[in-house]
Amino acid sequence: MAVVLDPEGEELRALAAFVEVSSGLQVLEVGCGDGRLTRRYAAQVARVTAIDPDGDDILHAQDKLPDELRDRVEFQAVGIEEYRLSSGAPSFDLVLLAWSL
Amino acid sequence: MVHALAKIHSLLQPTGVLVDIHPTPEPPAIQVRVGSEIHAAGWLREADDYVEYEEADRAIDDAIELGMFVLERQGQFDFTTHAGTLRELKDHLEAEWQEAFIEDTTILAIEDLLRTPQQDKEILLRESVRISRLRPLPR
Repeated sequence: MAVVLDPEGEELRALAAFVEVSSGLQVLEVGCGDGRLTRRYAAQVARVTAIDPDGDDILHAQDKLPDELRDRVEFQAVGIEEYRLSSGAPSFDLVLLAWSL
Repeated sequence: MVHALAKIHSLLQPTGVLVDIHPTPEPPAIQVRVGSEIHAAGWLREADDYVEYEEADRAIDDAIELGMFVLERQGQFDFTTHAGTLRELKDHLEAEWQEAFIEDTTILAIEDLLRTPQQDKEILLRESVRISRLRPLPR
């Protein structure tokens, strides 16, 4: 068997208990790595901007993203301090800082 | 880290929330499951003793003290990594967690527990993870 991370789904269960994940949510995920967590919740929200300073991780995240999520997930190879909003106005309902602080 | 939280504050809607997920500073437990029985084998060690997780806790505390956020809720859950063999676990750690290492006594305990003829067995790496929900305060 290959290594399997959290097949029990405890992480997603905890996230759902802490925030009302809904179809209108605009999410910024900071430190998304290879998009492991992104892929688990993205279908339930309106849009995800997932960032990570590691360009290789972002390439893996883009490769692993299922086709049905491509219209709602955008991966960017950038750290939080360099990240710039295109509009300049605060726009996220949820910032998810997953394993990255 | 506090700078990162200040940046996040500026990106959130006033009604938005920040959810932070990071492991606690306690070393993760390494166990071996054989059938329905779970046996303790030891702990995963880290070269810098998980100092980054203590720093993450401090950054959250600082952001609250500075009036950026208010802590609305905090909890913990277990994040478990399942590996079929010691080699698989070591390869995973080498790729994803370079600072981590397994002490020789723990390796011996894992090998001993896996020596059973029973086929239904695996290694479990159990991390205790803290989850926090923070609401931005007006600045």
